[in-house]
Amino acid sequence: MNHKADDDYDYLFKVVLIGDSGVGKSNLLSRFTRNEFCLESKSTIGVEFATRSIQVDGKTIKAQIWDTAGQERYRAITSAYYRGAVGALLVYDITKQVTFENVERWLKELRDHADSNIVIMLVGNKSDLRHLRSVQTDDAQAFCEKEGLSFIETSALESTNVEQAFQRILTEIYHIVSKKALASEDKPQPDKGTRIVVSETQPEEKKKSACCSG
Amino acid sequence: MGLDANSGGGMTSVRNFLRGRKFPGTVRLTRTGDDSPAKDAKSSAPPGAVQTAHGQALPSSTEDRQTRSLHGEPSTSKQDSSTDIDGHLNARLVQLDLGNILPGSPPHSPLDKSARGTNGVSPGRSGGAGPPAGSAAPAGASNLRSMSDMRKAKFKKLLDQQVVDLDALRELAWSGVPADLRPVCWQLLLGYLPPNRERREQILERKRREYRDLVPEYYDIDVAERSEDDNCALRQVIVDVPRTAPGVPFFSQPRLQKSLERILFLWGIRHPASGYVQGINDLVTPFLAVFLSPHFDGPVESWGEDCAAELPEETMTGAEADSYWCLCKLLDSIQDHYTHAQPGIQRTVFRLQELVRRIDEPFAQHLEAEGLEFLQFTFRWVNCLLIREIPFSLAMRLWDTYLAEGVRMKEYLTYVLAAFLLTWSADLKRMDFQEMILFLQKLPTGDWGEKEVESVLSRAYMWRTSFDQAKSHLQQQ
Repeated sequence: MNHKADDDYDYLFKVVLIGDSGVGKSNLLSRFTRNEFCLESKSTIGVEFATRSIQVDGKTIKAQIWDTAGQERYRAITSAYYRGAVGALLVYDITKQVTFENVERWLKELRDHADSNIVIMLVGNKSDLRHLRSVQTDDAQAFCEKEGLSFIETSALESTNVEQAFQRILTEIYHIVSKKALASEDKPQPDKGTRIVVSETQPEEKKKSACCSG
Repeated sequence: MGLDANSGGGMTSVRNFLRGRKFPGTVRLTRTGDDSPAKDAKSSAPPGAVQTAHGQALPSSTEDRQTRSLHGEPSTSKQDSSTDIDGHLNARLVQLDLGNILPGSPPHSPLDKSARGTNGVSPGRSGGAGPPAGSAAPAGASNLRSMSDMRKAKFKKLLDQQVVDLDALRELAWSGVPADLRPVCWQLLLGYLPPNRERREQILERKRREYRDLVPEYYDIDVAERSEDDNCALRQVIVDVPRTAPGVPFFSQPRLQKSLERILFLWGIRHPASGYVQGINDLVTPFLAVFLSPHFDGPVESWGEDCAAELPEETMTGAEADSYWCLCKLLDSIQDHYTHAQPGIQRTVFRLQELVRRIDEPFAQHLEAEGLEFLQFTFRWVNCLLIREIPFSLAMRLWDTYLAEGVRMKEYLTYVLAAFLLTWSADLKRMDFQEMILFLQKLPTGDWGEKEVESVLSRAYMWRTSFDQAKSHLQQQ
């Protein structure tokens, strides 16, 4: 399998995008990975996939992001993708109170299906719709402090804080992983299975691919 | 229960919303690719025979032009004359439908007249192109015209019977239904209209009344009167309606969106085992487009974004009711696609995987080696019956065959999915996991025409025939 030059990376982190339907998960993803925003995009059915690599502390981090359908009916399907994820962006819509109220249910979903040490960031999207705001920043902030989550408000439309949101969560994951790698006597083995998982490979060697090379 | 300022009200309001504002990067009105607008649909005519027919200016009688009453746009705005003529036929179908289903209609229904008057339909668009792709050798436009005329005459003969022979209709419709005959053919194939024409008017009236009565009972009521679950379901529908077929301006009209909202909400309420599930909104669009097609010119992508505004209330509610009932019929056989954990989809995907392994072992091995799971890319395909993966104009052609399959649709779908996927077998074998999944999420079908869809349908048919003789290869559930 030929790998392109840009497929060299030090770390591969799997991140999931979750949250209620219509809060803007897919647009956050397309803004981050392709600098695109689509006003009338179709609903996500099942899951969609995208990647982008960024630099953290001189290391190349490849984020493999799974964007999930928001409707409850799809959770049986989408929760399978939580496995192996080291990060979750839990998105709500700052103009829709109910999408914020449902955040607790999403946290429960993560507790039930994701790894216990997954890094979670709460994302209040659509911050451009100031006049329609119904979730106050302070309330969300207070909630995050209580739950131990990171928090950021974004606008995928205006491209506000989108880069920062991903950068922050990936950096946080990186710090945890690199600290763990240092502390650990046994070097974690790259997963040779067929599934895509996060690999905690040694930072020294430029990795080709953790798992998906033929 | 208002919509977001940025999520409803159609293209016009979206444009207003954007006016004078600047945004970074690329801001699209709709995602490009799988939902190409009219321009793409026009240029998507497959090479060879069909293109010739498209380029051919077909005559249309002035009488036909004068009989149009509901068309908002002058015919000069159409890109080519063949679609215009289709539009004429469509316009006649308002009468045709009734003419054909009313008892004691004269032997020469309006169809006779309009078919004679226009003398041919572009096979590229009407779906009346004759046999499935692969068997149609390049031919002159006149050959195609007469072939299409012949097919049309066969349909007409069947539809003129006192009691329509449904098996014969299935066989004929399988290879595509002429656009102007779709409303009546689909309704017959789905069992919404009875084969016996004497009973049709009565049944249609009753079903439409029944639907009309559902609206005040469940939909037109105060938020407080509905259960929390129902309100939640309605919220979900309201989130999805504005992003239903966003590449097709027709569906961005407030009137159409209200119809969609009612249909989807009522369907969910009346099917509590599954409730409304995202993607079902996609499945209703072919019905609305086809049942309203008699009132507009040309392909659905070219219908204006306020064309439904002038339609009489009765026409709209009639098409809405018909779409609702036909959606019910379509989903009856696949309701387990949408119940908890969606077992029907999982089973279909499992069977697909087995089938692909038998048809193309090296391909199946490649996917496995790369760690690509079928569920990762076929879930949406099954959930939306492939409608999301091809240009909207081709959904109608796909539906012709699905509906002709009837109770066998579910089984046939597995073969269609295999044929669809293996279209790119050679390309995919050269890709790694990431390349494959990105490719499969956004397949290069934007320039597809009916020829490509028919080729998939034919291969699926062929494989089913050969595998049917070795039953044990796929465990039927």
